[in-house]
Amino acid sequence: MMPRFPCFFNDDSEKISTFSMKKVIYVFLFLAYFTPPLLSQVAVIAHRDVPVDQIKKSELLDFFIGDIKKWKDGTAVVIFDMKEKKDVKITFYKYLGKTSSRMKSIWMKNMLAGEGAPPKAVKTPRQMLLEVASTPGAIGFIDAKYVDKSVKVLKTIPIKK
Amino acid sequence: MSYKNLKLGTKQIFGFGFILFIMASLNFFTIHKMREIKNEIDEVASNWLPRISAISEINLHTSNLRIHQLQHAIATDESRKQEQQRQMITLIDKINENIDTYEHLKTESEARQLYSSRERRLYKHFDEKWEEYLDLSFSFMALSSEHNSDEAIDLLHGKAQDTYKLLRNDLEGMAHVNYDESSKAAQRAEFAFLSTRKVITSLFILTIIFSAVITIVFIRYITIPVKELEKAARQVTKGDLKVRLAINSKDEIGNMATSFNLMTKALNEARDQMEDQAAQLKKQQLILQATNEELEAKSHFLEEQKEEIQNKNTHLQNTLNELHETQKQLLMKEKMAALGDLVAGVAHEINNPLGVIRSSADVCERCINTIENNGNDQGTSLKTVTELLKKNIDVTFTASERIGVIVDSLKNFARLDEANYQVVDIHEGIDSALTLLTREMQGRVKVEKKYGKIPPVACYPASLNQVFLALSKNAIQAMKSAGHLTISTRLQGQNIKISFKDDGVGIAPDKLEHIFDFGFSRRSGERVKLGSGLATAYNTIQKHNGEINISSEEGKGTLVEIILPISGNIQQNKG
Repeated sequence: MMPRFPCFFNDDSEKISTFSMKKVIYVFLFLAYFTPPLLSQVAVIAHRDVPVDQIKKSELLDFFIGDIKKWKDGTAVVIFDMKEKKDVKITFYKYLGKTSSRMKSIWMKNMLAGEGAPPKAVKTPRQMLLEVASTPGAIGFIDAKYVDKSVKVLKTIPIKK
Repeated sequence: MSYKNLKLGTKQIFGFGFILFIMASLNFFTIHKMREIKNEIDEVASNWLPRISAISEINLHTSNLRIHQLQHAIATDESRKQEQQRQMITLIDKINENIDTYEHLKTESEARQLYSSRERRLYKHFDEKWEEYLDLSFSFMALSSEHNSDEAIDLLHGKAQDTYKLLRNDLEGMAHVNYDESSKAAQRAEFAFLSTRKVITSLFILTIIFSAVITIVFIRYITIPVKELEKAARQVTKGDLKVRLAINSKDEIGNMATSFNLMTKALNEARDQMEDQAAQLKKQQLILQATNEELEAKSHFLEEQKEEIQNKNTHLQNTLNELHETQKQLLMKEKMAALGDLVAGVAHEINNPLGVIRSSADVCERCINTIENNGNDQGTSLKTVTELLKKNIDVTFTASERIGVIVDSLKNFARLDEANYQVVDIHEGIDSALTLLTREMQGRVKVEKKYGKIPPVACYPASLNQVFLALSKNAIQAMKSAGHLTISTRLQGQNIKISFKDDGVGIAPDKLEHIFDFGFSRRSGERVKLGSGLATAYNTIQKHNGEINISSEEGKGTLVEIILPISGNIQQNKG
């Protein structure tokens, strides 16, 4: 949410050596600029018919790196990625403990091993919503503010800067 | 307080303490600097070099990946394609491994704030390009797997190559940055080493200089003074006591020098004094020799004088004998005079009753005439005449009795008819003495007798009576007009005490001590008379083993006390 003070002080671009009132004000202005106006969250969404209502982090990672390919009821898992590398995507993969490039290298390995193509990457949140809602067994992620009743939210992850 | 005035121990502590301080600071400094150098080397060894290695590996594997991709594209055989795919999986694993290594090192480096912003930028860019390359690889693999070799190769050499070049540039940049940073670290380490060496060298030189200074100071303040002291001591041994040390520091050496100076001074003074004394002794010896000769001469002279004195002594003895003779004669004369007085008194005493007897004899004669002329014209009766006669006879008796008493007293006093030594009543003696003095009292002196009950005393009564007479007479003579003479006696143990107390003129204190001397008389100024009374009294009482004490107050009177032993014990051979 808010960067801790030591990190901020140690930033090369803005080094504060003396703690004066004026500088404190600058710090707050700087934080205000980077902090989103509302606490936004990433929602892990799935097709309405998937047999679970909640998902654990380890299961989610297994789905995304292709270790688990089917839901409990036998429906194939279909993963959707986001094209643009923005806060939502970064937050989501960070939550899984990976970077997006690492995810891609894993998918690359899967592809080379003949385990199928990499997930489809959508451009916009709306497209993501539409794809997940229309594909059975689909799972993806989206900024929580776009979520509607066409999809099922399995998990929410707070966005950290 | 200057360094000169410190004690030796303190001086040493100061000197060695300073050297120790320098050495200790040298050690601290060296350890600190070595730690700095070690940190730099550790950083290079544990972070910079592995990072460079990881980056090189990534570079190598990505280039290999491209080679296999190309081989995959040109392979026609499915099994060869599979082989290439396996190779690619291995390479991707290796790349991921190295990226993990790098990221781990990056985190460590960031924690130590040693990760440069340039490298961060380059790595971020590399990550993006790598992702982009992977995206392109998906498309390539899709084409290659479907045997669209030409398109695949086009993609690989076109868009993918551009991305790959950028990616590679980033990796090379990162390697360069790392290389630069590790060089800098090495430089820093070297600089630290050089500066440390400089400081150590200069401190070492300083230590040597300071040690030399301390040594010089020690020589100046300890060795040189000690040598001087030794030299001076040797001079003293040779007998030169004038030597003095000019060391005025206040440490032990200074104290020693001061003591040495005092010692030599004292020795010098002692030697001078001894020489003086020797000279003086020599002088005194000469004087003694002279004196000795003089004494011998004097002794000779004294012997001569002694002879002369002996002669004189013999002469004096003769004179003394003559004097004794004269004194005896004088005493005799005095006795004769006293006897004269006594005789005069007694004659007077006898004269009165004698006159009475004469007149009574005259009356008797006339009475007898009257009787013979009985019946004459005077008409006097016989009876009257007889009565007158009787009366006269009475008077004559009385007078003759009176004379008898006086003669008895005289006899009693002189004890003419009795033995020299016998037991008598003291009171009788006093009474007879007083009787003999009746004329001298002439009625003006009132005698008070306070006789106690005393036993008879063994004595020479004649001598004692003379004492009583002398004391009573003195008392009476001391009273110019009327007065009282109190005579008291009492028993006091084995002694009797007799006191004669008068209220006459008394005796002056300065004369009191001469009262028993032969020839003393308090009646000086009156007729010249040798007062032998008290001297005789003193001798008599001494002969009786008794005591005689006299006390007097001028103008008030005199008290004479005699103490006599009852049992006599007379010193027969005295007086």
